[in-house]
Amino acid sequence: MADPTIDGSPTKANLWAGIFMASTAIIALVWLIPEFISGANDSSKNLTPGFMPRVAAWCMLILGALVALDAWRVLAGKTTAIVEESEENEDLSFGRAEIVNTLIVLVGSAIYVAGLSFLGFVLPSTILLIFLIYLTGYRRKLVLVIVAIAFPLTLELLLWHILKVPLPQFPLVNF
Amino acid sequence: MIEQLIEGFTVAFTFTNLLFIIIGVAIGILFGVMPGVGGITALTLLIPVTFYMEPITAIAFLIGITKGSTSGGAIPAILLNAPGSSENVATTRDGYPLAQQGKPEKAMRMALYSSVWGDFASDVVLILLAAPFAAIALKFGPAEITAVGMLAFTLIAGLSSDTLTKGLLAASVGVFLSTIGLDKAEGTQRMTFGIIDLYDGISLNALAIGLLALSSVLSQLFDTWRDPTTANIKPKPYNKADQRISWAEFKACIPTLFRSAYIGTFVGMLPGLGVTLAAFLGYGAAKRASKKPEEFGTGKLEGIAATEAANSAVTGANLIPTIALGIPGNIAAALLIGAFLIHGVTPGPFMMQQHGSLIYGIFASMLIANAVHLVVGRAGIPIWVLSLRIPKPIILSCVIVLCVIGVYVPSSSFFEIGLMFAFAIVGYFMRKTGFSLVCLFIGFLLGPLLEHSLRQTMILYDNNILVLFTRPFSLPFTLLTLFFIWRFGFYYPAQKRKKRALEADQTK
Repeated sequence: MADPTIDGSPTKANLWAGIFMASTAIIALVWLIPEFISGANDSSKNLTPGFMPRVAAWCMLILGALVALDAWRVLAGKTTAIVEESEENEDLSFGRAEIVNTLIVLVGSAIYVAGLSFLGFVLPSTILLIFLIYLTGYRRKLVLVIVAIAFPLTLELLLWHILKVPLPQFPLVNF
Repeated sequence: MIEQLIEGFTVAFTFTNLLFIIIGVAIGILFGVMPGVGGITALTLLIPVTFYMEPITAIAFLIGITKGSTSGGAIPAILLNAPGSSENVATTRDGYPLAQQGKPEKAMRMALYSSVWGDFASDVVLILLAAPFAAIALKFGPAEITAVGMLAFTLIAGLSSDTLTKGLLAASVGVFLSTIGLDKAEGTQRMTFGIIDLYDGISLNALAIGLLALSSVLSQLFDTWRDPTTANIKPKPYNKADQRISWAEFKACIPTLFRSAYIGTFVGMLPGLGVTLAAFLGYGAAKRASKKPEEFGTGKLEGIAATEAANSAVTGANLIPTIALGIPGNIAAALLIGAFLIHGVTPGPFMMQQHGSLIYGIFASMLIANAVHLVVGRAGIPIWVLSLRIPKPIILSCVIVLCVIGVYVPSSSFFEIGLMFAFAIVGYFMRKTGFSLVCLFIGFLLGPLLEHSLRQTMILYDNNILVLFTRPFSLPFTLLTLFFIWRFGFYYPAQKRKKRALEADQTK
């Protein structure tokens, strides 16, 4: 259960999420749909391919505005917040720690995907596993190294050599 | 129907099918046992594996996973007081106290038997009702399908989110994302930005794995990183003697098993109500009906039977709206719709007509899966318990690598891996801010169906959307939609605000 009075509460996140979604919807309506959907502005047609994206974008605009307005009214003390519970039993809070986590995933995933395309599947996955397992508190180094090497290697062997399903390969193996 | 079901058994009862049902149930239990990983992760990760299977084997395999994961989730709930997923939360109330009394295996056996019973009862209702429901749904035109779609969105948004606007906003984003790619009617590009990977739309795999599985794993990894003590909870050793359930004990649970199966089946038939609700309703009903309600919460077998039969009974019944209308009842059913689509089968009223033998083959597979579930689940209890000894950091980290494989193998695309991580970030934000993942996913999945029916309605009735109020079959659904918008959007929030304001006044 989240207390809407604390910092990083869903109410503040709702305000920003509502503003973000309404802004995204406006961008979609005035730029994305007219520019990137062929025939979206064809007035000779009854229903253009832009019909459903426009319906969805209008819904996003109205609902985003409603979510932001409701959050603003709570923060301004004009109404009481509704206590929200997570459907996944998680603590509802999006503060500094969660922003840092998001940035870590953003940077980490970019490095990992780049690693996959340049170094193949096994090496970046081994490094990723060592990094993650160690960081989350597991300290038996021998087991850690064995799992980190054996797991991606087994998957590669299973998929590539037995099931003939290709995984990104280390470039040097082709030479 | 009996003839078709017998024919279904002849289609389903093959060595390959049986093998994949066994593997599916075992994987389902194994994923269910690992706290926080769960059946949804297993389904999202393994749907790509089914690309290479026959449709009936693929669906039977996935149904095996769904069935196994529900009872698997009860094991950590009983042994560690840490439910595998939210649907097993109620199981901790009596399961954990019974384990503390030195009878964990007894609790696990009761959970398994109840789960199999709930599954079986719900499957029977599905088999009996799917065909009549589909026959009624065949009378539906585009206006009716639009009205049903809108009702489903409202129900799912209202029930899976604390505020209707947030649920509907998530669903709208899902529908918007579903419009990316080539327009099915005219073949023109929509917001593809010249990226070939987007011509076929946003990949269902990347979205499902990123949003549902990876975001959950990342969230738990961050929690473990900040508080490593949560990673080292292990089950206590216990005495193997005195773990049997006597006939008298089982007999006392029979009325509870029937009641919970009925509750779970009813909840499963309605889109959006969810497995967790069924489990709590089942538990509450058993407690109210008991002569000794004060014993609930102290390790009573009836408490375990009530929750596990109710949550498992949702599985089969959820497929009634899925098969009859193409509208999933929950996220597992939504993932199964994805699997049906991948194998060229479009769920909806025409499914029974066009793929009758496949559907009855699936029904037969579900019944077979129940028997397999009982055998595999019972024989494997010592093994499932052992899997709880694998440290959480190792499990969660390995699941990330599996997520990458799950997206890369069917597509061979680095773009889709990037897309998966992007959706994982979106999912992580939604988890932490109370936006419903279910709504976004179901919006994405039902978007094309809603677009198709809405466009047809507009063309057929000269852009007159008020036709939803004038057609006899669409009118009740439209009125129900308006009723639920009032109920979830205005009435409940006002009640909740009033209650909270009163509480605040009292504390002053």
